[in-house]
Amino acid sequence: MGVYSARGNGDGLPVSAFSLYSYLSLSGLGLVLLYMLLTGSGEQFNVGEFLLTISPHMWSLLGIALCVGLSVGGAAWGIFITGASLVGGGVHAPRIVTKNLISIIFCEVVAIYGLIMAIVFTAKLEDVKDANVTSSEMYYKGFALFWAGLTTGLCNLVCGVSVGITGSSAALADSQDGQLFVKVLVIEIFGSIVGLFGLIVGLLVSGKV
Amino acid sequence: MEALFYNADDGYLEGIVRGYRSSILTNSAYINLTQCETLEDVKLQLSASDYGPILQNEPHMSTSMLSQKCTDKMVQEFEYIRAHAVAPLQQFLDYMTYAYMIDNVILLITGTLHERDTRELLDRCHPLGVFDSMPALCVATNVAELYNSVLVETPLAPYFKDCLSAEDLDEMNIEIIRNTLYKAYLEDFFSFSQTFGGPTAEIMAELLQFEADRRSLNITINSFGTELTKDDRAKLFPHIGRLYPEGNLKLAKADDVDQVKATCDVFLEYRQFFDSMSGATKTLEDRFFEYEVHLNKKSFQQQFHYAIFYSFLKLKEQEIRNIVWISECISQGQKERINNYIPIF
Amino acid sequence: MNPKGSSSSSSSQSSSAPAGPRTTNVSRSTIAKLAFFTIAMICIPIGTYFVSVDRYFDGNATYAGISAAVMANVVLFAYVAAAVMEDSQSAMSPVSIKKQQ
Repeated sequence: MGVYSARGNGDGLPVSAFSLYSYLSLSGLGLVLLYMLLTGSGEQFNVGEFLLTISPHMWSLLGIALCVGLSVGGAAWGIFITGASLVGGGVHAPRIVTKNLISIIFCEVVAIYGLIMAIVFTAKLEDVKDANVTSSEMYYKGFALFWAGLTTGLCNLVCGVSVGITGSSAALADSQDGQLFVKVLVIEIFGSIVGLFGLIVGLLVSGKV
Repeated sequence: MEALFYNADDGYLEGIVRGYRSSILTNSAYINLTQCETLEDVKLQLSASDYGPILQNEPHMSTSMLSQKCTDKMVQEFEYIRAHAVAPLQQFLDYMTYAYMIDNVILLITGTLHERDTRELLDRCHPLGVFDSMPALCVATNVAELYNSVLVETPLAPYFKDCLSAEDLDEMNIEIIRNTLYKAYLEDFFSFSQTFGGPTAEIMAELLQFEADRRSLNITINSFGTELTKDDRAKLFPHIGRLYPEGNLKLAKADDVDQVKATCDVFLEYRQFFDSMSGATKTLEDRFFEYEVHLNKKSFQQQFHYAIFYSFLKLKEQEIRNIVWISECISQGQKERINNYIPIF
Repeated sequence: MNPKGSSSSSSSQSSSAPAGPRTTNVSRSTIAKLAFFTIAMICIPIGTYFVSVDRYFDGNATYAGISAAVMANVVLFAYVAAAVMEDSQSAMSPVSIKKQQ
């Protein structure tokens, strides 16, 4: 990741600046923690309580947002990786037929997975009265939807990138030799199956709600 | 990791280059070319390839015209890529042109030393190595002036500044100047290509190391029987090749081809260059080219790296050499040597 | 790319194969097909979900979600099948064109 983003200013400056900032913020955080601990107010730093004060509604909506956002991000990333190679390869071999665009549809289906899951999660949302909102059942619901959404979203993100990279190779291979296309397509199908795993686990986790 | 971000800037160009690569003449096209009887036949054969349109309107075929047109075509393709490239790739492509720039500057220096007509010199310069102020360079009447304008006007300045002084240009042998510059250029390009990491660094290392070793070997073999001292010879060897350091040390002490051969015996790939040299028709130069083509072909096996741009240019150069060789053989009626071209794909 | 290429026994069929009008037809049908399947890809799974969730699964969103994912894959493989069929058709046609010449 750093190779293509950190270059540019030359001399590896961004990397060292980045590490400097992280050192500074980490040591600052450590100082605050130590101060609180040594002055007898260390219990104020309570992760568990902090998590419990967040409303279950917040958790479930965050899960839905991550699910659809990461999925669409993965699909879009895959489409741009494929698309750039498709356009370049198409200049010499201008035979853009249906099969060249299979990779695009493969990326697209990843976004649809995220959309379906977001709809399923939304169906499980319900309005609860204030007295009920902090019951353990509601907490379970909120956490389940959050983690199901995150699982689906991350799986779809990685799946979209994987399909995009294979799709780009497929586009370039096809423009050289049309017979190679089906062989690369098989690999692409296997890549797109990965997204289904996330979808299944997401459904299972949220299914108990 | 480079697969994630490469296509954002360079995916289109990679596709373009792979398209250009597939228009490189195949083995069967060469076999058809070698069957030709006249240059008009060559034109007919080439009309099916990418060279067709540029040769279409040429009434008289000649070898120099053919070479000129093919080079123009290559330069045109390179310029297209160069025009569409953005930041790191653009710099990479610029580095590739520095090699031609060195050749052009050397040509101009030679011309100035011998007081040749500058316009004629400019025509002979390689179009890839042209820089904006090249005509201004020709106005320079003496070498010191030329040295200064090279320092100011060209990206070659660091190579000149670190290796040569204005007096050197007057005194040193022109080939030594060329090799000194080229050594600095290769080392600079090598360290630049290593900053990319990943497959770009890996493949460019292999390609540039071979280029460096080839130059070391050529310098050594060509310096036998000349007044070049062994110390001076050692100074010309690039410090990046696979032969560096112990191979270079041995080459610096070598007195004949057998010792060069012994140096290369350590490396499996380099051993073949000197195998059965006596019987075969292929020269050492041809074997170098053959291995270079092999390495450049290999770089197309990987995706998401910059070395294909370098390799494409090298393969295209080799193709032009092949076409020129074949048409030269046809026009001079030396059919028996026509098969000494180096097939690419 | 190169109109003269088809006249001689060329080694690079790739550049000489497509003729002018035929390519435009193919690309238009390709675009139409892509647009159709893109819309189908959005509408069919989501439509399946909303139709089936109350009618067949009695409000169980999980099963309806599974059926929607299955429908998305059905559309996907329908597109692949369409591509393969078009590919085999176009593989046949150049032969017939050459025979006519």
